[in-house]
Amino acid sequence: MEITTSKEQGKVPVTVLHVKGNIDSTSYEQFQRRAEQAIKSGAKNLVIDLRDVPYMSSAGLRALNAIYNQLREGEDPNMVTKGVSAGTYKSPHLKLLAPSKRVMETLKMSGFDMFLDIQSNLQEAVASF
Amino acid sequence: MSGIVSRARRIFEGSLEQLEPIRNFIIQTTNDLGCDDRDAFALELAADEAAANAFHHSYQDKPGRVEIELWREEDALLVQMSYGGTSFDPARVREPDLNAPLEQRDAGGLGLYFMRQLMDHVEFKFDKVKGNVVTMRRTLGRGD
Repeated sequence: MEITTSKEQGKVPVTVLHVKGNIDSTSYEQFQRRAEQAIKSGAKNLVIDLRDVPYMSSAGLRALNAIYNQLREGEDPNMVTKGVSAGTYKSPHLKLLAPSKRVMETLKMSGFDMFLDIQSNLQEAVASF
Repeated sequence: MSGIVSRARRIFEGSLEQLEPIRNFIIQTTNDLGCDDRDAFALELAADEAAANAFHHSYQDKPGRVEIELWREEDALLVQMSYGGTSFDPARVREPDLNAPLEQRDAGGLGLYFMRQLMDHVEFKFDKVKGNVVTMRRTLGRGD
């Protein structure tokens, strides 16, 4: 797996993690660590570029879950609870870019698509924060 | 042996690095057996989750041996995975609450959930000779 990072400027600064390769039980820790390093370095808004990720297992979802939790700092928990109950909540800090059909299957099956905004275009993803 | 069209069997030795060769074996075999993309993906993901479970939980990330057998019966595809190590009790894995917010979710349980969602039938047995035996069945052309 190869991961590169780029920084984009929209209304706010956005860090993009470009992932290349499958995210499974052998690679998810590397993916998670890289995202955690970006967060520790000050990234508050992350796009995970999935254009070159052909496959993701539940291990990849565990990593996304951990990244999502780390980016929640500062959010009003009451607003999150209300949004979740209303079915309108999506993470304002973590977004996914262009998952493949197969990766989308795992996101849907696990219900992660309810909490994560999925964008199809990098510029629009950056502008959406 | 009526109804059995074809079968393939392979042994994988090692640890989690075997997941990719296992997925490739499943993709190749499902292709040879004439399955559509949806059924092939279901088998690939379910087998990957089962094998990750074997290497991680039963072999505790130490090298081990996983035997996989795949065959087709009239309207269904079956995959059987046999491996040693500690016995796996699926009853001890809590079912994930998919409606819970992500921050309230458990880290585990999704792999087993995927296996059960993608397959019509998932059975775990512990045999004194074979060790853990996981058998999964999927009706072909389910469309989901």
